[in-house]
Amino acid sequence: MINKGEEVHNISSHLPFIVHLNSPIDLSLSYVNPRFTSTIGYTLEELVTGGSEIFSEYVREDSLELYPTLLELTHQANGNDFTFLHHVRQSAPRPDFRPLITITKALGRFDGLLFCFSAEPRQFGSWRNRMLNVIELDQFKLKNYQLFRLLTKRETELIKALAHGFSNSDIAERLFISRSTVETHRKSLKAKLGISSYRDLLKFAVAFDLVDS
Amino acid sequence: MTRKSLNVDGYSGEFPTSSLPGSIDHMIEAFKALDLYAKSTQEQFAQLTGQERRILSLIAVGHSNPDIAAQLSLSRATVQNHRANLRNKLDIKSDVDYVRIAVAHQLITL
Repeated sequence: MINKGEEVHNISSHLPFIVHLNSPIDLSLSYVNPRFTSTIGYTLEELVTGGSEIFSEYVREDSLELYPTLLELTHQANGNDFTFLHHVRQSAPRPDFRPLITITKALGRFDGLLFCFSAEPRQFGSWRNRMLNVIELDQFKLKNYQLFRLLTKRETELIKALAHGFSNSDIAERLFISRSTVETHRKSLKAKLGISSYRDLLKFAVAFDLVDS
Repeated sequence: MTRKSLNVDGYSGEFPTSSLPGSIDHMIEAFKALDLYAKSTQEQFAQLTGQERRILSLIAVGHSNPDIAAQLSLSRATVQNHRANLRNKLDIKSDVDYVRIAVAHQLITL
């Protein structure tokens, strides 16, 4: 009878992904697969004893800030998986930060432990380009967040409506304003965001979660 | 809502914890929806000629008809014709649809 730990290790050793298990209570690491260690350059023991100092060595600053929110994301996911992007330094051959996409799921069969599978964009097969686009959009979001913050509620409503393809008269009806007001808002939005095409607009809308799927 | 100060990639600013870089689920959902849209428009898209696809890409990226005419060495009237054909073949109802369908079929990225 194989114990659960062995079972995890046997499977994870053969997957072409970085695999790690985290506690659902405080996200502490309880297992990393061999690929994790060969990629990141640390063993589980080193990570557990080294603590946050090691993390700040191999994880980019914005990604470090994301980790504490992962517990909240886990609860929100309510048993479903969720995906996040982080930038980590791999031990060899290049020391720069590379993007890693991690899919996380809490497994009831393993006492709610978080199973995390990490892959690079190139490992997503035909979705490789989509993943690269997602990474680009995440960067775009980082760079444009200050702009986004300064938008009024009206303006975000307008972005939503434009992204869904509504005409100026449709929008005027929906927002209970006149057509010329819509046109004025559009002009000011264009100037505020430096947007010059519908592609820019849709990019902004997707990055900042303003489209209904 | 706590705000974190970040200095990343030459960019510095403040982020609320609910909106930190790295939370990408909503983007993945958006692209999944675009994948479905691609499937549902597969037949119409397959019927586009090479030139129509080229023109669709240029429209989607934001080029004007005169620009497109210059780039492809066509007359403006020809470009207008192609544009009308695209509207009919792909059932395009608004300008943003050009972008949506081009991204869905991976002609351009967002």
